[in-house]
Amino acid sequence: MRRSERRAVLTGLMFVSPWLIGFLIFTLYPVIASGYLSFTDYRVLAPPRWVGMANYHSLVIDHDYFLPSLWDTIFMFLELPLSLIMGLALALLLDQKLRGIAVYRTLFYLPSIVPVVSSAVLWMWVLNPEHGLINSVLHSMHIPGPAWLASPAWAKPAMILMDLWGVGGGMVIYLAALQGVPTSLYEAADLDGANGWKKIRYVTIPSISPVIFFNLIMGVIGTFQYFTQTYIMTNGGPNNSTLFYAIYLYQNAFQYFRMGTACAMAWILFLITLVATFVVFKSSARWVYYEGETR
Amino acid sequence: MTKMQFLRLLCAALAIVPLAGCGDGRSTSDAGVVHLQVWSMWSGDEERSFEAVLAEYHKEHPGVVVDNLGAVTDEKSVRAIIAGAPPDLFTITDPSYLGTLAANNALEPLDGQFEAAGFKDQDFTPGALDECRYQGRLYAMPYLMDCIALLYNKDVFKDAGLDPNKPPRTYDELVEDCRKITRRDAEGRLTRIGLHPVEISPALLMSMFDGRFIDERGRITADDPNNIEGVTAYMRLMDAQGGYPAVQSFASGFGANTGAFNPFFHGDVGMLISGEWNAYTAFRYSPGTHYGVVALPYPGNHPNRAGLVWLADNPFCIPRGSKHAREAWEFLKWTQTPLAQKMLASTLHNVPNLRSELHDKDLIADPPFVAKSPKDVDPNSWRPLYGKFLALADSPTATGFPTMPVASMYAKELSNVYDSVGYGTKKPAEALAAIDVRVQREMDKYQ
Amino acid sequence: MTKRTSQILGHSVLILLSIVFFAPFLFMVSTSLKADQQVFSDHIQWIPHPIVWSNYPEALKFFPFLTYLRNTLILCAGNVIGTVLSAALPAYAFSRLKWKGRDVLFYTMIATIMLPSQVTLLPVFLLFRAIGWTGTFLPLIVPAFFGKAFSIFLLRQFFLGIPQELSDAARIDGCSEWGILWRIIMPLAKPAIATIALFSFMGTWTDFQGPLIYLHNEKLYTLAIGLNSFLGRHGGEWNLLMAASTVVTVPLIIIFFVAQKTFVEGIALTGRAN
Repeated sequence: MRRSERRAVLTGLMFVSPWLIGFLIFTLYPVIASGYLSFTDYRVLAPPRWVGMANYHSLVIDHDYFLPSLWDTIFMFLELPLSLIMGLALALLLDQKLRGIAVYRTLFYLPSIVPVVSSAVLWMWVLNPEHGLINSVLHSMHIPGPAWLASPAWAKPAMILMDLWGVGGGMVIYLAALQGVPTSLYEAADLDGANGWKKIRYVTIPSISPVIFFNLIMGVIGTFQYFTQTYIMTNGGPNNSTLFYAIYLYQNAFQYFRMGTACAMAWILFLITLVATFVVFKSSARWVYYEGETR
Repeated sequence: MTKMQFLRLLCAALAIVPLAGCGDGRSTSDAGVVHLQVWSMWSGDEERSFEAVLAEYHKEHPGVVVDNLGAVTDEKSVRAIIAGAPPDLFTITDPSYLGTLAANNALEPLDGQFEAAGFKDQDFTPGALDECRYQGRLYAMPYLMDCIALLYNKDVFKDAGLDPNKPPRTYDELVEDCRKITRRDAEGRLTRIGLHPVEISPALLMSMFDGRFIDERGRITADDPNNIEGVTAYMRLMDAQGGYPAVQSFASGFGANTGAFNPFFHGDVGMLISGEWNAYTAFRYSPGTHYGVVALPYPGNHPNRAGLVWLADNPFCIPRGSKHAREAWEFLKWTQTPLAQKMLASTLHNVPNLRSELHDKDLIADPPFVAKSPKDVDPNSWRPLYGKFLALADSPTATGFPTMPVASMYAKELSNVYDSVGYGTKKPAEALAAIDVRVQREMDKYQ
Repeated sequence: MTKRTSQILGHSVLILLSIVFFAPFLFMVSTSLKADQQVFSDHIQWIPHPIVWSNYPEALKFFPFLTYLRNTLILCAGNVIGTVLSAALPAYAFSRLKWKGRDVLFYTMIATIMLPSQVTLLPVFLLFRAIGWTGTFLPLIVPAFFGKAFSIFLLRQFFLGIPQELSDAARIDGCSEWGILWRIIMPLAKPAIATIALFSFMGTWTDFQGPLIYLHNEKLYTLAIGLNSFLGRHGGEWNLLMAASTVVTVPLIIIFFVAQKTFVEGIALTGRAN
């Protein structure tokens, strides 16, 4: 390595050191440990026993729980485009300097502020098939409301609805990103006679594409790990329709004392997520525009 | 920001760290006073009730202070045991974990201490100790328990044309009563049902039909013919009130913490299979309504199940590695005295596990109450109904889920049976056979 | 469509959506003022009759509110400071420096987010136990000083949007990389910093699992655990839970409302409008 290259690596490593040290201590060891445990029968209270691929094998042929949990989780990807578009749309709407706009922004971010345990209860009421908010409104219009969380067919859409309520988090990230779009670009577009939509499509979106990319990657990872609300509200039901991957993993790890299986599940998930994000990364060369990138 | 400024900010931030390094709070003894560390599942008001009991213990045993940590989950306890730093004593929230902990040698066996203390099985509520035993050895002591029976709303019975003093005794009567109580509105939606499904675990139901979960040789018997009979009969009951999906939709929505939201307390449900704590809940949320309670109905072809109530303990265990196993046992011994039982039972509204306490007048009788204003509700009016639960608990048929290392997984698998049968995915025999295979596979790992 | 029509349409959509987003919160407040028997009713009751104000003092006495609040604030302060400081450096290295192995390390970092925490929980716990940190705040604060991948990733994306010319000009002037980071890049990234500070704060404020796992002393418990205490084994104190939740939520609403300027208008305009 040339001297300047070596210096560059040293500088890079120095800057990265806070994360790197943490990674080596807090992450690498547990990751390797979980990998090893996935090849064992580890029931937590007793030492692990090597079983090779047995955990992986029994998972992959499990039509009752593992495969449904995978399918249930993949279904939730329907939400990803919705939340990306909604978050962006809201951010665009709320990026104006109007009076009272601060109130709107706060209102839309509100769901992220409400404690999870309370919002879970709130939503169980909102979605209650008999007296809940949504069905009461539907009944008053003589539309039969679905059984939401009590219906195997509607439970997942109900959770998507609830998730979209939390779109304020993404909105905030987009709002911050919108501040970085150079006004000079908008002025140039105006000179070219571009209207509102064209400006969004050709100036705004490319400029904030790095952040859209971020939300997309985090969305993919997050969908695979979807857990908390389900744990409180449905715990996998009805009829395993909301048995998301992370829920079944949790059950194996902590309720069934099958930590080896849980680790195998975690690594299968890891590999799937790796492939999915790799695809997104590769596609990013075509639509993500970095103004300040050192290539 | 310059390097100096950065370093100064970093130092300021790290100054928080000593603040954060507040110790464990677990001193084990100072100047002759022993600190017994107990980890319990209770929080809020329930925790305060428990701590009042601990204060009473300290009054009688000045050399011991029992330090309580509340809101503890079973995972936390298991983690502490693995890490080699368990508390001196802890509760198990989900009694089905006892088998797993015992099978893995995580708990101190208590048979010796039990005998030395002069305890006899007959002193305890029937079935209470079974839940604390694994393969014949005692691994926990119960400190109060839950007793699940059939609660019914007398006002709803009257409204449906049923005799409020004749609750169903047999399973067929139960199905018929449900059919009569069920009502629909103009659009065909359910407005009232007979039996609320939320706490009828499949294990409880199968037990009503004399079902068996494990045989003497330790083999799993999930597809025992009586188990299958139970599930089929349950679906028959659901059909009598509108079908499984419709009933689930009607009764659903609030997870396990039904309490205020349970339509049973609002006159929309005629009967509830649930526990003694509801005597107090009923009083809180619907004080004017008349309720009764009776043992779980028995099927005509299984008359030996008459008097059945379903049990769930609050087991207290001493982990291996407990630093004060002796003091922990002394405390457990004390919890089996009438005073200790009475104190906690009247505030937690649970069933005493000491047989003599099931008939304690202080717990079950309505002491005289003088209303100071017309709106005053007698704060003790929950006691008579509660007392009926206690009387029911003194039944030789009382039972709970058997202890075994795979109990937690078994119970969860069984809990999925209703959904898979009720929504038409599988037939009862099929569903139970599949469970049998899976649970047996787990069980084999423990041989 | 005229400008006026599109404005009215925009406003209507906003108002409608705001109602949807706000209604559950309104329900929370409404339930917090209800008496026991009225918490659940057949028909939606927005305004309670009677209004039970005493739910609030009762809720705050249910668990040691001030103690838990103090603990939560300590954890939040530690996490926010740690996250911001430790995210800036790696984010800079991943975006504005060119060095061999950079991309490999970056992808590795992203990969670490992909492994569910349930399986790393136990080994990490045993690690902390081995160094004697369980029972303290340390496992809940110190990791923040070692860079959270989420924050590093986000900041890196922001940094990538800042033109190279600014860095190049500074380098020509003899500025060190450290100097460029703190004097040029960070001031331009205020909205991004505010964002990761906000997410770090919210994450710590609502973290239930972490404190539950590592704390053995109730005097160190946090608000998230406190809120959970309203849910007993059989039913819960719903009205009190909603009252406590409101008390916990309202200050955050005010902080967010006031701090919006940093997200939306906190960027120096020099160097942008050229």
